[in-house]
Amino acid sequence: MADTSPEALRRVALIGNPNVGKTTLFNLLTGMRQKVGNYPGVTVERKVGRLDGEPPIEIIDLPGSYSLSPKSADERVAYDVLMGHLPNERIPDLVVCVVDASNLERNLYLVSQVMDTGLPTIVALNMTDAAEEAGLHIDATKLQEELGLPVIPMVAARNGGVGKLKYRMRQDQLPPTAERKWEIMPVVDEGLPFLVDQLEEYVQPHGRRIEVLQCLTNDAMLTYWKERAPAFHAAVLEERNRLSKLKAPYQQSEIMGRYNWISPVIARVVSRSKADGALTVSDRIDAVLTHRLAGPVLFGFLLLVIFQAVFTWATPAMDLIESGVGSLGQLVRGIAPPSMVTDLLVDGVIAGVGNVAVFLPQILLLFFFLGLMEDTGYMARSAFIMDRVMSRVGLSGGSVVPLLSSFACAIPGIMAARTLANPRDRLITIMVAPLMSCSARLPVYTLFIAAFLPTGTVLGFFTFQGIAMFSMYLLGTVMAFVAAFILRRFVFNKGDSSFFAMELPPYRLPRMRQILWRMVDRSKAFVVRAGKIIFGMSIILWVLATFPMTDPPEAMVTEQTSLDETKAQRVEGLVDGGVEREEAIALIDVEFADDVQAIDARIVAWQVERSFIGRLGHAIEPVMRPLGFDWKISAGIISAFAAREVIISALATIYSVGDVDEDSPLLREQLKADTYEDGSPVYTPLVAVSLLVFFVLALQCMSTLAIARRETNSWKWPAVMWLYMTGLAYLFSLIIYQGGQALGWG
Amino acid sequence: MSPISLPQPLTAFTSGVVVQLAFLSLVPAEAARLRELGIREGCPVHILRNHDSLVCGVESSRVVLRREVAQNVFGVLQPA
Repeated sequence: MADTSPEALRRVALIGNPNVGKTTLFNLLTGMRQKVGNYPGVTVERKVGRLDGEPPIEIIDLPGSYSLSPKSADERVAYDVLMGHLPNERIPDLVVCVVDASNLERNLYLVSQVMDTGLPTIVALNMTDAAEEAGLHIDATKLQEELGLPVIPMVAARNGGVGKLKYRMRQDQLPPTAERKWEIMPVVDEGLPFLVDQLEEYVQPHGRRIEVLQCLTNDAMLTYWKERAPAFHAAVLEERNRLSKLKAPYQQSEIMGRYNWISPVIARVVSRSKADGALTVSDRIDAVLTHRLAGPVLFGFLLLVIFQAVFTWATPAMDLIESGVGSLGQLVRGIAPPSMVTDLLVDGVIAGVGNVAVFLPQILLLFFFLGLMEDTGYMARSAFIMDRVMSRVGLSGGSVVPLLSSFACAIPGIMAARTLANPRDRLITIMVAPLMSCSARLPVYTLFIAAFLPTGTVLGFFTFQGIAMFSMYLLGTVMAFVAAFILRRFVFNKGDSSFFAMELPPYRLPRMRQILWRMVDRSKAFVVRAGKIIFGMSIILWVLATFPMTDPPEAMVTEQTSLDETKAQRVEGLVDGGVEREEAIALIDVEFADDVQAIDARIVAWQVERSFIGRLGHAIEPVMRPLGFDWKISAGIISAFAAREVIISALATIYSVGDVDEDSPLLREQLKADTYEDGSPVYTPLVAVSLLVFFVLALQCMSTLAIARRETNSWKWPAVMWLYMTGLAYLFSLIIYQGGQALGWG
Repeated sequence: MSPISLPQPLTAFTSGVVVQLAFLSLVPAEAARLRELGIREGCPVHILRNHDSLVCGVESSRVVLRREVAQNVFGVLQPA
């Protein structure tokens, strides 16, 4: 039997510019046999799939890259995989370079760099239909001769040419290693052999020259070698110095050298039947969608529609999941004997999983819309449209996509920032992304707005509660922009921030299968990641609220015993009157249900107040009291540090309500009815607003901190993030509560 | 003999014209990114829109440049 372990499989890497149909091809080749993870040490997505058949092949989808001269974390990974720089990543046996036939010149730039790695390479000449439409006729045979590589014309979106590519990938004989075709300027070339020799111990022969070229022009690439090969590092600096003294334009020598070879190749293999410069359908659509006045209005309207759809369309599915989780809990309680293990299973594990699962419909919908925007090409336009606004706070339009993604969850938002080439823009985007209201804040907003804010309407159409909800999202967004401005102005104030250039891909009809695929893929990753935290936290919360176990006071026990005795007497009375015992018990249980629930709730509340979580709440209460929060809210906030939505189950546990969600009238009533010893209400509309603002601004999400740690490779920035957001939350809540009281609103 | 036209920033050209790029007056990393996007010395660039940002056509692709970037990319008008 053939060895199909990952080590024994032929390994094929797909590489290409963004928007060349690389992921479409990857999906076609691997179907559902994909695994999404992260590269070790970085959070750049690692997509690996398997092409079944004989022999089976492992395919790795590298992030879209314009070149092998990395400018962003994404591009760095593509380069490192090909060069074998990543630990536990085997160098690919074969590279498939996916090329957009309608932009051949630019795409051949990357091909020429891949050729320099010395790895066997196939060129997948994709989108030949688009090229034909644009009047470009490409002689693939001639191109193959020019490159010295197999060239396979394809239309991956319609499955064209995929069979040929599979056949070529499976052939026992790998394509020959391409020879370098281009020449660099002599003054640069003469210094290269010495530098190449310096890498002898560290880099395989095939990759030494391209590594040297990258280090010569890219500081980040050179830094990699500072500790690993100090002699090489010093030699490169010396060479840069020599070239500078000679006034040799070495920094553009590689690009110019490659294009000097590519341009004549293009002239020989491409013929044109249409004049350049004709407006395309995409240009005409852009005239409206990215119009300087209409563009932002349409973008705002689109966002409104998306959020409306996310919040309304998801409700039935969320209700269904909630009731399913509730039923499952009841089922387990019905089957398992009453014990601490059952409590842990129902209140800890099942409720914990339910806490995650309930958000899934919203997450799926949000990812669906984001996928739709991405697939049609509108996502790139949103960055373009918003660039003007973003430039005012010191960022670029490139930050729009990460910030938009953060409405679903800050984790994919922070991860999306890896596409930003400017490290400062990337860091600022990471630092402010958690201020965008994520879906985990939604249950908190829903509970407190529904319980404490008036239900009237404005202009007969907008409800106060709807406006309050919108205000929460607006506050988060405005604060993210203000924070970005402050960070740019006072913290990261060195360097120029004026650079913004991006490609606008042509508009395309959305491919539903791809979008749904990606939606499920990303949602799965979200659930697994977030689920681990919330699942674990729910169990911890249950333990904190259950231990140490204390006996209830004598008076409560007496009251409970007396109630039991009264019930027993009433049952005996009914039995004496001729009613069947079982029927009598059922009747009395119904009659005394409220009384039993009330005394049970008081006993649990008494115990919770003395549990670890109650003690924590009391300990922190003096600090939180100026914001209007009592020990119960304070305990809820502490438990919500790991994940915001945990406050709902924490309050439910503290108020002994049992299985609840944010729409539960019982929890709302409990909150409304709660009073201090002097009889004044714990919750007033002012306290609710103060709490809402606290939740808008505070960083209560361990996963976000963990991702920020991985993305910034330091605990410094997550610590700064936590401190500034928590400080901001405290300050704003303090101002609102104290200011409101001074104005007599409390 | 036709007069020699001096390179001007891309923002100086009106929509619809084709400009041959002369040089990029940007820091090396930014210039490198533009060249990778196809905006490089000697290539023809079709000016599609010139308002707050500049949208240009390079081969079949469309690239948007922030105004401050476009002001530092110089070219000469290509005869129609």
